[in-house]
Amino acid sequence: MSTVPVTPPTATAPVATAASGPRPDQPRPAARATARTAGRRLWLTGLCLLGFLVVLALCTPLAGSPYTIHTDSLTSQGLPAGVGENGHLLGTDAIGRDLFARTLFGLRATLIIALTANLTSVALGAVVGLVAGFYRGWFEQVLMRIVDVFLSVPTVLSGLALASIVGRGTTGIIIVVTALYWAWTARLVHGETVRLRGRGFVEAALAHGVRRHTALRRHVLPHLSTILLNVAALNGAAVVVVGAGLSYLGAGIQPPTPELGNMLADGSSSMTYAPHTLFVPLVLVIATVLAFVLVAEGLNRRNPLSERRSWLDA
Amino acid sequence: MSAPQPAPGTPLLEATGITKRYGQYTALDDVDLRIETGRTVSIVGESGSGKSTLARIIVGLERADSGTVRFRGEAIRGRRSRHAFRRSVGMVFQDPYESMDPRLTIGEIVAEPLRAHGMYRDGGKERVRELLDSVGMHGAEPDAYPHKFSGGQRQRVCIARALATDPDLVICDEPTSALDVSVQAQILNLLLDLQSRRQLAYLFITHDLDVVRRISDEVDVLLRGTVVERGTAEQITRSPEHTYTQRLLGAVPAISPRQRHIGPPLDIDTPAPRPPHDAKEDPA
Repeated sequence: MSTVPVTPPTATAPVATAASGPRPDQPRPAARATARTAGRRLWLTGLCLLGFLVVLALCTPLAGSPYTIHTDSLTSQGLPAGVGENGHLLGTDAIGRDLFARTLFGLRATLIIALTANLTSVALGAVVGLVAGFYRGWFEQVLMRIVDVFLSVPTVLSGLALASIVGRGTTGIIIVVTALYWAWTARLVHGETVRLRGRGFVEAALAHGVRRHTALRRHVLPHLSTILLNVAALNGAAVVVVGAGLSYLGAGIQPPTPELGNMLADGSSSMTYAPHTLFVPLVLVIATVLAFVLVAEGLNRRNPLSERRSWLDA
Repeated sequence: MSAPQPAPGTPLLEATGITKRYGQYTALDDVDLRIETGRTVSIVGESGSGKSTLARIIVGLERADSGTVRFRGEAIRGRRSRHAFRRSVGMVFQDPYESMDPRLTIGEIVAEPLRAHGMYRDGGKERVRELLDSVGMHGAEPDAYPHKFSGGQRQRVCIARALATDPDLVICDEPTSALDVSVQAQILNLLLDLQSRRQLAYLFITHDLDVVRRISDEVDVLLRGTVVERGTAEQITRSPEHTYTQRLLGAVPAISPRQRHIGPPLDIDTPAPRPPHDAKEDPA
Protein backbone atom coordinates (compact mmCIF):
# COMPACT_ATOMS: atom_id res chain seq x y z
CA MET A 1 0.00 0.00 0.00
CA SER A 2 2.73 2.36 0.87
CA THR A 3 4.66 2.18 -2.37
CA VAL A 4 4.98 5.65 -3.71
CA PRO A 5 4.96 5.88 -7.47
CA VAL A 6 8.25 7.39 -8.52
CA THR A 7 7.60 10.14 -10.96
CA PRO A 8 9.91 12.98 -11.86
CA PRO A 9 8.92 16.00 -9.83
CA THR A 10 9.13 18.21 -12.89
CA ALA A 11 6.33 16.23 -14.45
CA THR A 12 4.00 16.21 -11.45
CA ALA A 13 4.36 19.74 -10.27
CA PRO A 14 2.51 21.55 -13.06
CA VAL A 15 -0.21 18.93 -13.09
CA ALA A 16 -0.79 19.32 -9.40
CA THR A 17 -1.17 23.09 -9.63
CA ALA A 18 -3.44 22.78 -12.62
CA ALA A 19 -5.63 20.31 -10.78
CA SER A 20 -6.04 22.48 -7.70
CA GLY A 21 -6.64 25.54 -9.86
CA PRO A 22 -5.97 29.13 -8.98
CA ARG A 23 -7.68 29.68 -5.65
CA PRO A 24 -9.23 33.12 -5.40
CA ASP A 25 -7.63 33.76 -2.02
CA GLN A 26 -4.13 32.92 -3.16
CA PRO A 27 -2.80 36.34 -4.12
CA ARG A 28 -3.93 37.83 -0.86
CA PRO A 29 -1.66 36.00 1.60
CA ALA A 30 1.23 36.63 -0.74
CA ALA A 31 0.48 40.33 -0.93
CA ARG A 32 0.07 40.42 2.81
CA ALA A 33 3.38 38.67 3.28
CA THR A 34 5.16 41.26 1.13
CA ALA A 35 3.51 44.04 3.05
CA ARG A 36 4.67 42.35 6.22
CA THR A 37 8.26 42.00 5.18
CA ALA A 38 8.26 45.58 3.87
CA GLY A 39 6.83 46.71 7.16
CA ARG A 40 9.33 44.68 9.08
CA ARG A 41 12.19 46.21 7.07
CA LEU A 42 10.85 49.65 7.89
CA TRP A 43 10.47 49.27 11.61
CA LEU A 44 13.73 47.38 11.88
CA THR A 45 15.49 50.23 10.08
CA GLY A 46 13.88 52.72 12.40
CA LEU A 47 14.75 50.67 15.43
CA CYS A 48 18.38 50.30 14.31
CA LEU A 49 18.61 54.03 13.70
CA LEU A 50 17.16 54.74 17.12
CA GLY A 51 19.51 52.19 18.68
CA PHE A 52 22.47 53.77 16.94
CA LEU A 53 21.50 57.20 18.24
CA VAL A 54 21.09 55.86 21.76
CA VAL A 55 24.50 54.19 21.61
CA LEU A 56 25.97 57.42 20.28
CA ALA A 57 24.43 59.30 23.17
CA LEU A 58 25.71 56.71 25.64
CA CYS A 59 29.21 57.25 24.24
CA THR A 60 29.18 60.79 25.58
CA PRO A 61 31.68 60.13 28.39
CA LEU A 62 34.16 58.80 25.80
CA ALA A 63 34.10 62.18 24.14
CA GLY A 64 35.37 63.54 27.42
CA SER A 65 38.92 64.61 27.83
CA PRO A 66 40.17 66.25 24.65
CA TYR A 67 36.74 67.39 23.64
CA THR A 68 35.21 69.28 26.50
CA ILE A 69 31.91 70.93 26.13
CA HIS A 70 32.50 74.07 28.11
CA THR A 71 36.07 75.00 27.11
CA ASP A 72 35.83 77.94 24.81
CA SER A 73 38.75 79.54 23.05
CA LEU A 74 39.17 82.92 21.42
CA THR A 75 41.61 81.52 18.87
CA SER A 76 39.54 78.59 17.65
CA GLN A 77 36.10 80.05 17.00
CA GLY A 78 33.98 78.50 14.27
CA LEU A 79 36.64 76.09 13.10
CA PRO A 80 35.42 73.87 10.25
CA ALA A 81 35.15 70.13 10.61
CA GLY A 82 38.36 68.27 10.02
CA VAL A 83 39.77 64.99 11.19
CA GLY A 84 42.82 65.22 13.38
CA GLU A 85 43.54 68.90 12.75
CA ASN A 86 43.71 70.70 16.08
CA GLY A 87 41.80 67.84 17.64
CA HIS A 88 38.25 68.97 16.77
CA LEU A 89 36.47 66.22 14.84
CA LEU A 90 33.49 68.37 13.90
CA GLY A 91 35.15 71.71 14.34
CA THR A 92 34.09 74.25 16.93
CA ASP A 93 31.10 76.49 17.45
CA ALA A 94 30.92 80.27 17.45
CA ILE A 95 32.75 80.66 20.73
CA GLY A 96 35.28 77.93 20.16
CA ARG A 97 33.68 74.95 21.96
CA ASP A 98 34.17 71.51 20.46
CA LEU A 99 31.10 70.69 18.41
CA PHE A 100 31.49 66.89 18.49
CA ALA A 101 31.39 66.73 22.27
CA ARG A 102 28.56 69.23 22.45
CA THR A 103 26.54 67.34 19.87
CA LEU A 104 26.85 64.08 21.78
CA PHE A 105 25.83 65.71 25.04
CA GLY A 106 23.04 67.51 23.26
CA LEU A 107 21.80 64.28 21.70
CA ARG A 108 21.82 62.64 25.10
CA ALA A 109 19.76 65.44 26.60
CA THR A 110 17.30 65.35 23.71
CA LEU A 111 16.91 61.56 23.83
CA ILE A 112 16.45 61.52 27.60
CA ILE A 113 13.69 64.10 27.29
CA ALA A 114 12.06 62.48 24.28
CA LEU A 115 12.08 58.90 25.57
CA THR A 116 10.95 59.79 29.07
CA ALA A 117 8.29 62.25 27.98
CA ASN A 118 7.06 59.77 25.41
CA LEU A 119 6.74 57.06 28.02
CA THR A 120 5.02 59.28 30.57
CA SER A 121 2.61 60.86 28.12
CA VAL A 122 1.59 57.55 26.54
CA ALA A 123 1.28 55.88 29.93
CA LEU A 124 -0.81 58.68 31.39
CA GLY A 125 -2.97 58.87 28.29
CA ALA A 126 -3.46 55.11 28.23
CA VAL A 127 -4.52 54.94 31.87
CA VAL A 128 -6.96 57.83 31.53
CA GLY A 129 -8.36 56.47 28.26
CA LEU A 130 -8.77 52.95 29.65
CA VAL A 131 -10.41 54.03 32.87
CA ALA A 132 -12.73 56.48 31.14
CA GLY A 133 -13.63 54.07 28.37
CA PHE A 134 -14.08 50.95 30.45
CA TYR A 135 -15.80 52.09 33.60
CA ARG A 136 -17.89 54.77 31.89
CA GLY A 137 -20.19 56.71 34.18
CA TRP A 138 -19.90 60.36 35.14
CA PHE A 139 -16.15 60.42 35.49
CA GLU A 140 -15.81 59.32 31.88
CA GLN A 141 -17.45 62.63 31.04
CA VAL A 142 -15.22 64.53 33.44
CA LEU A 143 -12.01 62.90 32.20
CA MET A 144 -12.84 63.27 28.55
CA ARG A 145 -13.76 66.94 28.94
CA ILE A 146 -10.38 67.47 30.58
CA VAL A 147 -8.84 65.69 27.59
CA ASP A 148 -10.75 68.03 25.28
CA VAL A 149 -9.33 71.01 27.10
CA PHE A 150 -5.80 69.72 26.71
CA LEU A 151 -6.40 68.93 23.05
CA SER A 152 -7.65 72.40 22.33
CA VAL A 153 -4.70 74.42 23.65
CA PRO A 154 -2.06 75.46 21.10
CA THR A 155 1.03 73.33 21.66
CA VAL A 156 3.96 75.75 21.47
CA LEU A 157 2.34 78.73 23.15
CA SER A 158 1.00 76.80 26.10
CA GLY A 159 4.31 74.94 26.24
CA LEU A 160 6.16 78.20 26.67
CA ALA A 161 3.68 79.34 29.30
CA LEU A 162 3.85 76.04 31.17
CA ALA A 163 7.65 75.99 31.06
CA SER A 164 7.74 79.35 32.78
CA ILE A 165 5.73 77.82 35.62
CA VAL A 166 7.28 74.39 36.11
CA GLY A 167 10.88 75.40 35.46
CA ARG A 168 13.35 74.87 32.68
CA GLY A 169 15.41 71.85 33.65
CA THR A 170 15.12 68.36 32.19
CA THR A 171 12.34 67.44 34.60
CA GLY A 172 10.49 70.63 33.82
CA ILE A 173 10.50 70.05 30.11
CA ILE A 174 9.44 66.43 30.52
CA ILE A 175 6.46 67.60 32.56
CA VAL A 176 5.60 70.22 29.96
CA VAL A 177 5.79 67.80 27.04
CA THR A 178 3.79 65.17 28.92
CA ALA A 179 1.11 67.73 29.69
CA LEU A 180 0.99 68.72 26.03
CA TYR A 181 0.75 65.22 24.60
CA TRP A 182 -1.00 62.79 26.95
CA ALA A 183 -4.44 63.82 25.77
CA TRP A 184 -3.89 62.51 22.23
CA THR A 185 -3.20 59.02 23.49
CA ALA A 186 -6.06 59.29 25.96
CA ARG A 187 -8.58 60.09 23.29
CA LEU A 188 -7.46 57.27 21.03
CA VAL A 189 -7.30 54.68 23.80
CA HIS A 190 -10.68 55.82 25.09
CA GLY A 191 -12.30 55.21 21.73
CA GLU A 192 -10.74 51.80 21.34
CA THR A 193 -11.65 50.81 24.88
CA VAL A 194 -15.28 51.77 24.38
CA ARG A 195 -15.30 49.64 21.24
CA LEU A 196 -13.68 46.67 22.95
CA ARG A 197 -15.90 46.91 26.00
CA GLY A 198 -18.92 46.24 23.86
CA ARG A 199 -17.36 43.19 22.28
CA GLY A 200 -18.99 39.85 22.90
CA PHE A 201 -16.01 38.25 24.61
CA VAL A 202 -15.79 41.01 27.21
CA GLU A 203 -19.49 40.70 27.95
CA ALA A 204 -19.22 36.93 28.06
CA ALA A 205 -16.45 37.22 30.63
CA LEU A 206 -18.47 39.66 32.74
CA ALA A 207 -21.56 37.47 32.50
CA HIS A 208 -19.57 34.57 33.92
CA GLY A 209 -18.48 36.52 36.95
CA VAL A 210 -15.10 37.85 35.84
CA ARG A 211 -14.54 41.08 37.72
CA ARG A 212 -14.36 44.25 35.76
CA HIS A 213 -10.73 45.09 36.39
CA THR A 214 -9.76 41.51 35.53
CA ALA A 215 -11.70 41.74 32.29
CA LEU A 216 -9.97 45.04 31.57
CA ARG A 217 -6.55 43.52 32.11
CA ARG A 218 -7.21 40.23 30.38
CA HIS A 219 -9.50 41.13 27.50
CA VAL A 220 -9.08 44.81 26.75
CA LEU A 221 -5.46 45.69 27.40
CA PRO A 222 -3.93 42.93 25.21
CA HIS A 223 -6.01 44.10 22.27
CA LEU A 224 -4.66 47.60 22.75
CA SER A 225 -0.99 46.61 22.60
CA THR A 226 -0.76 47.14 18.85
CA ILE A 227 -2.33 50.54 19.05
CA LEU A 228 -0.28 51.61 22.04
CA LEU A 229 2.93 50.66 20.26
CA ASN A 230 1.92 52.64 17.20
CA VAL A 231 0.91 55.59 19.30
CA ALA A 232 4.19 55.49 21.21
CA ALA A 233 6.19 55.57 17.99
CA LEU A 234 4.24 58.44 16.45
CA ASN A 235 4.06 60.30 19.72
CA GLY A 236 7.83 59.88 20.05
CA ALA A 237 8.43 61.73 16.81
CA ALA A 238 6.24 64.61 17.90
CA VAL A 239 7.81 64.73 21.34
CA VAL A 240 11.35 65.02 19.91
CA VAL A 241 10.33 68.02 17.86
CA VAL A 242 8.49 69.77 20.66
CA GLY A 243 11.16 69.03 23.27
CA ALA A 244 13.91 70.39 21.02
CA GLY A 245 11.61 73.19 19.87
CA LEU A 246 11.03 74.45 23.39
CA SER A 247 14.80 74.51 23.99
CA TYR A 248 15.23 76.29 20.69
CA LEU A 249 12.82 78.95 21.87
CA GLY A 250 14.71 79.27 25.14
CA ALA A 251 12.08 77.59 27.31
CA GLY A 252 13.83 74.26 27.72
CA ILE A 253 17.41 73.36 28.52
CA GLN A 254 19.36 76.56 29.12
CA PRO A 255 22.38 77.56 27.00
CA PRO A 256 25.59 76.51 28.66
CA THR A 257 24.19 72.96 28.81
CA PRO A 258 24.01 71.60 25.27
CA GLU A 259 20.76 70.23 23.91
CA LEU A 260 20.01 69.79 20.23
CA GLY A 261 17.35 72.47 20.36
CA ASN A 262 19.46 75.20 21.88
CA MET A 263 22.39 74.13 19.70
CA LEU A 264 20.15 74.80 16.72
CA ALA A 265 19.46 78.24 18.12
CA ASP A 266 23.21 78.86 18.51
CA GLY A 267 23.89 77.46 15.06
CA SER A 268 21.27 79.58 13.36
CA SER A 269 23.03 82.73 14.58
CA SER A 270 26.43 81.58 13.32
CA MET A 271 25.36 79.78 10.19
CA THR A 272 26.72 82.46 7.86
CA TYR A 273 30.35 81.78 8.73
CA ALA A 274 30.14 78.34 10.34
CA PRO A 275 27.22 76.45 8.75
CA HIS A 276 28.22 73.13 10.33
CA THR A 277 27.17 74.51 13.73
CA LEU A 278 23.61 74.46 12.41
CA PHE A 279 23.72 71.36 10.27
CA VAL A 280 25.20 68.88 12.74
CA PRO A 281 22.46 69.23 15.37
CA LEU A 282 19.86 69.56 12.62
CA VAL A 283 20.84 66.24 11.07
CA LEU A 284 20.61 64.54 14.45
CA VAL A 285 17.15 65.96 15.19
CA ILE A 286 15.96 64.82 11.79
CA ALA A 287 17.53 61.38 12.29
CA THR A 288 15.78 60.98 15.67
CA VAL A 289 12.40 61.98 14.28
CA LEU A 290 12.94 59.77 11.26
CA ALA A 291 13.75 56.81 13.47
CA PHE A 292 10.44 57.15 15.33
CA VAL A 293 8.47 57.69 12.15
CA LEU A 294 10.02 54.64 10.51
CA VAL A 295 9.15 52.48 13.49
CA ALA A 296 5.60 53.82 13.47
CA GLU A 297 5.16 53.29 9.76
CA GLY A 298 6.64 49.82 9.86
CA LEU A 299 4.47 48.81 12.81
CA ASN A 300 1.50 50.11 10.95
CA ARG A 301 2.14 47.71 8.13
CA ARG A 302 3.00 44.78 10.26
CA ASN A 303 2.48 44.21 13.90
CA PRO A 304 5.53 42.35 15.21
CA LEU A 305 4.19 41.59 18.65
CA SER A 306 1.27 39.44 17.72
CA GLU A 307 1.96 36.74 15.21
CA ARG A 308 -1.60 35.63 15.69
CA ARG A 309 -3.14 38.29 13.55
CA SER A 310 -6.73 37.23 13.51
CA TRP A 311 -10.04 38.30 12.09
CA LEU A 312 -10.26 40.64 15.03
CA ASP A 313 -7.51 42.91 13.81
CA ALA A 314 -8.60 42.93 10.21
CA MET B 1 -22.33 23.49 51.10
CA SER B 2 -24.86 25.52 49.17
CA ALA B 3 -27.09 28.26 50.46
CA PRO B 4 -29.91 27.26 52.81
CA GLN B 5 -32.69 25.59 50.90
CA PRO B 6 -35.52 27.97 50.07
CA ALA B 7 -39.10 27.14 50.86
CA PRO B 8 -40.54 24.44 48.64
CA GLY B 9 -42.38 25.80 45.66
CA THR B 10 -39.94 28.67 45.19
CA PRO B 11 -38.90 28.80 41.56
CA LEU B 12 -35.23 28.64 40.65
CA LEU B 13 -35.41 32.01 38.99
CA GLU B 14 -38.15 34.52 39.18
CA ALA B 15 -38.22 37.89 37.50
CA THR B 16 -41.04 40.26 38.28
CA GLY B 17 -42.05 43.52 36.71
CA ILE B 18 -38.96 43.95 34.55
CA THR B 19 -39.17 47.23 32.68
CA LYS B 20 -36.50 48.73 30.48
CA ARG B 21 -36.66 51.87 28.39
CA TYR B 22 -34.16 53.28 25.97
CA GLY B 23 -35.16 56.92 25.75
CA GLN B 24 -38.72 56.90 24.43
CA TYR B 25 -38.58 53.31 23.33
CA THR B 26 -39.85 50.70 25.75
CA ALA B 27 -37.87 47.52 25.26
CA LEU B 28 -39.48 45.61 28.10
CA ASP B 29 -42.73 46.50 29.80
CA ASP B 30 -43.49 44.84 33.11
CA VAL B 31 -42.30 41.37 32.14
CA ASP B 32 -42.56 38.43 34.55
CA LEU B 33 -40.67 35.18 34.21
CA ARG B 34 -40.48 31.96 36.20
CA ILE B 35 -38.08 29.11 35.73
CA GLU B 36 -38.32 25.91 37.75
CA THR B 37 -35.35 23.69 38.46
CA GLY B 38 -34.46 21.43 35.55
CA ARG B 39 -37.02 22.94 33.20
CA THR B 40 -36.62 24.81 29.95
CA VAL B 41 -38.38 28.08 29.41
CA SER B 42 -38.23 29.54 25.93
CA ILE B 43 -38.77 33.13 25.05
CA VAL B 44 -39.81 33.64 21.48
CA GLY B 45 -40.47 36.74 19.52
CA GLU B 46 -39.31 38.62 16.50
CA SER B 47 -36.23 40.84 16.35
CA GLY B 48 -36.54 43.81 18.63
CA SER B 49 -39.14 42.23 20.86
CA GLY B 50 -36.85 42.48 23.85
CA LYS B 51 -35.80 38.84 24.17
CA SER B 52 -32.08 39.46 24.42
CA THR B 53 -32.53 42.49 26.64
CA LEU B 54 -34.39 40.33 29.12
CA ALA B 55 -31.56 37.80 29.18
CA ARG B 56 -28.98 40.54 29.60
CA ILE B 57 -30.91 42.08 32.46
CA ILE B 58 -31.23 38.76 34.24
CA VAL B 59 -27.51 38.12 34.07
CA GLY B 60 -26.74 41.71 35.02
CA LEU B 61 -25.13 42.96 31.83
CA GLU B 62 -27.77 45.61 31.73
CA ARG B 63 -29.73 47.27 34.47
CA ALA B 64 -33.52 47.26 34.44
CA ASP B 65 -35.34 50.49 35.11
CA SER B 66 -37.58 48.62 37.52
CA GLY B 67 -38.37 45.10 38.58
CA THR B 68 -36.54 42.44 40.54
CA VAL B 69 -34.80 39.21 39.73
CA ARG B 70 -34.88 36.54 42.42
CA PHE B 71 -32.73 33.46 42.39
CA ARG B 72 -33.90 30.70 44.72
CA GLY B 73 -36.10 33.27 46.34
CA GLU B 74 -33.38 35.79 47.04
CA ALA B 75 -33.35 39.09 45.24
CA ILE B 76 -30.19 39.83 43.30
CA ARG B 77 -29.20 43.24 44.42
CA GLY B 78 -25.74 44.70 44.63
CA ARG B 79 -22.36 43.51 43.51
CA ARG B 80 -21.88 40.64 45.93
CA SER B 81 -25.16 38.86 45.30
CA ARG B 82 -24.72 39.30 41.56
CA HIS B 83 -21.29 37.73 41.70
CA ALA B 84 -22.65 34.79 43.69
CA PHE B 85 -25.55 34.48 41.26
CA ARG B 86 -23.21 34.35 38.30
CA ARG B 87 -21.59 31.30 39.76
CA SER B 88 -24.90 29.47 39.51
CA VAL B 89 -25.64 30.70 36.02
CA GLY B 90 -23.93 30.08 32.72
CA MET B 91 -24.54 31.87 29.50
CA VAL B 92 -24.22 30.85 25.87
CA PHE B 93 -24.25 33.65 23.37
CA GLN B 94 -25.47 33.84 19.84
CA ASP B 95 -22.21 34.33 18.00
CA PRO B 96 -19.44 31.86 18.89
CA TYR B 97 -16.97 33.94 16.90
CA GLU B 98 -17.66 37.03 18.91
CA SER B 99 -18.02 35.60 22.38
CA MET B 100 -14.49 34.17 22.67
CA ASP B 101 -11.38 36.27 23.08
CA PRO B 102 -9.17 35.31 20.11
CA ARG B 103 -6.05 35.89 22.20
CA LEU B 104 -6.95 33.28 24.77
CA THR B 105 -6.68 29.53 24.31
CA ILE B 106 -9.85 27.50 24.58
CA GLY B 107 -8.54 26.08 27.84
CA GLU B 108 -8.18 29.58 29.25
CA ILE B 109 -11.62 30.48 27.99
CA VAL B 110 -13.25 27.51 29.67
CA ALA B 111 -11.24 28.13 32.83
CA GLU B 112 -12.28 31.75 33.04
CA PRO B 113 -15.44 31.29 35.12
CA LEU B 114 -13.53 28.88 37.38
CA ARG B 115 -10.85 31.49 37.98
CA ALA B 116 -13.43 34.21 38.52
CA HIS B 117 -14.98 32.21 41.35
CA GLY B 118 -11.78 30.90 42.87
CA MET B 119 -12.42 27.34 41.74
CA TYR B 120 -9.45 26.89 39.46
CA ARG B 121 -6.72 26.28 41.95
CA ASP B 122 -7.57 22.73 42.88
CA GLY B 123 -7.94 20.54 39.86
CA GLY B 124 -8.79 23.29 37.42
CA LYS B 125 -6.84 21.77 34.58
CA GLU B 126 -8.52 18.39 34.89
CA ARG B 127 -11.84 20.14 35.23
CA VAL B 128 -11.27 21.99 31.94
CA ARG B 129 -10.42 18.73 30.17
CA GLU B 130 -13.46 17.08 31.66
CA LEU B 131 -15.67 19.96 30.53
CA LEU B 132 -14.30 19.85 27.00
CA ASP B 133 -14.92 16.11 26.91
CA SER B 134 -18.45 16.54 28.21
CA VAL B 135 -19.36 18.83 25.32
CA GLY B 136 -17.98 16.40 22.78
CA MET B 137 -14.65 18.11 22.25
CA HIS B 138 -12.63 14.97 22.91
CA GLY B 139 -9.05 15.29 21.90
CA ALA B 140 -9.23 19.05 21.54
CA GLU B 141 -6.06 20.62 22.84
CA PRO B 142 -6.83 23.12 25.60
CA ASP B 143 -3.80 25.05 24.33
CA ALA B 144 -5.35 25.62 20.91
CA TYR B 145 -6.69 29.01 19.94
CA PRO B 146 -10.32 29.51 18.94
CA HIS B 147 -9.56 30.38 15.33
CA LYS B 148 -8.67 26.76 14.72
CA PHE B 149 -12.22 25.62 15.34
CA SER B 150 -15.42 25.73 13.36
CA GLY B 151 -18.52 27.58 14.48
CA GLY B 152 -20.09 24.45 15.94
CA GLN B 153 -16.93 23.51 17.80
CA ARG B 154 -16.62 27.02 19.14
CA GLN B 155 -20.17 26.91 20.37
CA ARG B 156 -19.33 23.66 22.16
CA VAL B 157 -16.45 25.41 23.87
CA CYS B 158 -18.82 28.22 24.83
CA ILE B 159 -21.18 25.66 26.33
CA ALA B 160 -18.26 24.16 28.25
CA ARG B 161 -17.51 27.62 29.62
CA ALA B 162 -21.13 28.11 30.60
CA LEU B 163 -21.05 24.81 32.49
CA ALA B 164 -17.69 25.40 34.16
CA THR B 165 -18.97 26.42 37.57
CA ASP B 166 -21.59 23.66 37.53
CA PRO B 167 -24.54 26.06 37.29
CA ASP B 168 -28.21 25.31 37.84
CA LEU B 169 -29.34 27.61 35.09
CA VAL B 170 -27.94 28.23 31.64
CA ILE B 171 -29.15 31.18 29.64
CA CYS B 172 -28.92 30.50 25.93
CA ASP B 173 -29.27 33.59 23.80
CA GLU B 174 -30.02 32.21 20.34
CA PRO B 175 -27.23 29.66 20.61
CA THR B 176 -27.98 28.05 17.28
CA SER B 177 -28.94 30.91 15.03
CA ALA B 178 -25.39 31.63 13.86
CA LEU B 179 -24.76 27.99 12.96
CA ASP B 180 -25.35 25.74 9.98
CA VAL B 181 -28.57 23.79 10.08
CA SER B 182 -26.82 20.45 10.50
CA VAL B 183 -24.71 21.81 13.32
CA GLN B 184 -27.76 23.38 14.96
CA ALA B 185 -29.22 19.94 15.54
CA GLN B 186 -25.99 18.68 17.10
CA ILE B 187 -25.83 21.62 19.47
CA LEU B 188 -29.47 21.19 20.47
CA ASN B 189 -28.91 17.49 21.11
CA LEU B 190 -25.89 18.35 23.21
CA LEU B 191 -27.90 20.84 25.25
CA LEU B 192 -30.70 18.32 25.80
CA ASP B 193 -28.21 15.65 26.73
CA LEU B 194 -26.47 17.92 29.22
CA GLN B 195 -29.81 18.88 30.71
CA SER B 196 -30.75 15.32 31.42
CA ARG B 197 -27.35 14.57 32.91
CA ARG B 198 -26.97 17.66 35.05
CA GLN B 199 -30.48 18.72 36.03
CA LEU B 200 -30.01 22.03 34.24
CA ALA B 201 -32.66 24.64 33.76
CA TYR B 202 -32.51 26.56 30.51
CA LEU B 203 -33.69 29.98 29.63
CA PHE B 204 -33.79 29.72 25.90
CA ILE B 205 -34.01 32.85 23.78
CA THR B 206 -34.87 32.14 20.20
CA HIS B 207 -36.95 33.11 17.24
CA ASP B 208 -36.83 29.62 15.80
CA LEU B 209 -40.06 27.83 16.59
CA ASP B 210 -38.74 24.45 15.52
CA VAL B 211 -36.12 24.80 18.21
CA VAL B 212 -38.83 25.79 20.68
CA ARG B 213 -40.83 22.69 19.87
CA ARG B 214 -37.77 20.49 20.36
CA ILE B 215 -36.45 21.83 23.58
CA SER B 216 -38.91 23.71 25.73
CA ASP B 217 -41.26 22.89 28.53
CA GLU B 218 -42.78 26.33 28.69
CA VAL B 219 -42.90 29.14 26.19
CA ASP B 220 -43.30 32.87 26.67
CA VAL B 221 -44.22 34.80 23.55
CA LEU B 222 -42.80 38.28 23.67
CA LEU B 223 -44.12 41.07 21.48
CA ARG B 224 -42.69 44.56 21.73
CA GLY B 225 -41.63 44.15 25.31
CA THR B 226 -44.72 42.45 26.70
CA VAL B 227 -45.54 38.80 27.17
CA VAL B 228 -48.59 38.22 25.01
CA GLU B 229 -48.95 34.51 25.55
CA ARG B 230 -47.58 31.95 27.93
CA GLY B 231 -48.05 28.23 28.03
CA THR B 232 -46.52 24.83 27.59
CA ALA B 233 -44.68 24.18 24.37
CA GLU B 234 -47.49 21.83 23.38
CA GLN B 235 -50.19 24.45 23.88
CA ILE B 236 -48.33 27.18 22.14
CA THR B 237 -47.39 25.20 19.08
CA ARG B 238 -50.66 23.25 18.72
CA SER B 239 -53.28 25.79 19.66
CA PRO B 240 -51.90 29.27 19.92
CA GLU B 241 -54.43 31.75 21.21
CA HIS B 242 -52.92 35.12 20.50
CA THR B 243 -53.00 36.32 16.91
CA TYR B 244 -49.35 37.17 17.06
CA THR B 245 -48.41 33.65 18.08
CA GLN B 246 -50.53 32.23 15.30
CA ARG B 247 -48.78 34.45 12.79
CA LEU B 248 -45.41 33.58 14.23
CA LEU B 249 -46.17 29.88 13.81
CA GLY B 250 -47.56 30.47 10.35
CA ALA B 251 -44.30 32.05 9.32
CA VAL B 252 -42.31 28.88 10.01
CA PRO B 253 -41.14 27.41 6.72
CA ALA B 254 -42.79 24.10 6.01
CA ILE B 255 -41.65 21.26 3.83
CA SER B 256 -44.58 21.61 1.48
CA PRO B 257 -45.77 25.04 0.38
CA ARG B 258 -49.31 23.88 0.99
CA GLN B 259 -48.58 23.51 4.68
CA ARG B 260 -47.39 27.06 4.91
CA HIS B 261 -49.93 29.69 5.82
CA ILE B 262 -48.41 33.06 6.13
CA GLY B 263 -51.18 35.44 7.04
CA PRO B 264 -51.63 39.00 5.96
CA PRO B 265 -49.08 41.45 7.37
CA LEU B 266 -49.12 41.80 11.12
CA ASP B 267 -50.32 44.83 13.05
CA ILE B 268 -54.04 44.52 12.56
CA ASP B 269 -54.98 44.10 16.15
CA THR B 270 -51.72 45.06 17.84
CA PRO B 271 -50.73 48.59 18.66
CA ALA B 272 -48.11 50.12 16.40
CA PRO B 273 -44.57 50.42 17.66
CA ARG B 274 -43.63 53.70 19.21
CA PRO B 275 -40.70 55.24 17.44
CA PRO B 276 -40.23 58.76 18.80
CA HIS B 277 -40.42 60.66 15.51
CA ASP B 278 -43.71 59.02 14.58
CA ALA B 279 -45.16 59.99 17.89
CA LYS B 280 -44.23 63.60 17.30
CA GLU B 281 -45.64 63.75 13.78
CA ASP B 282 -48.92 62.23 14.84
CA PRO B 283 -51.37 65.15 15.32
CA ALA B 284 -53.34 63.21 17.92
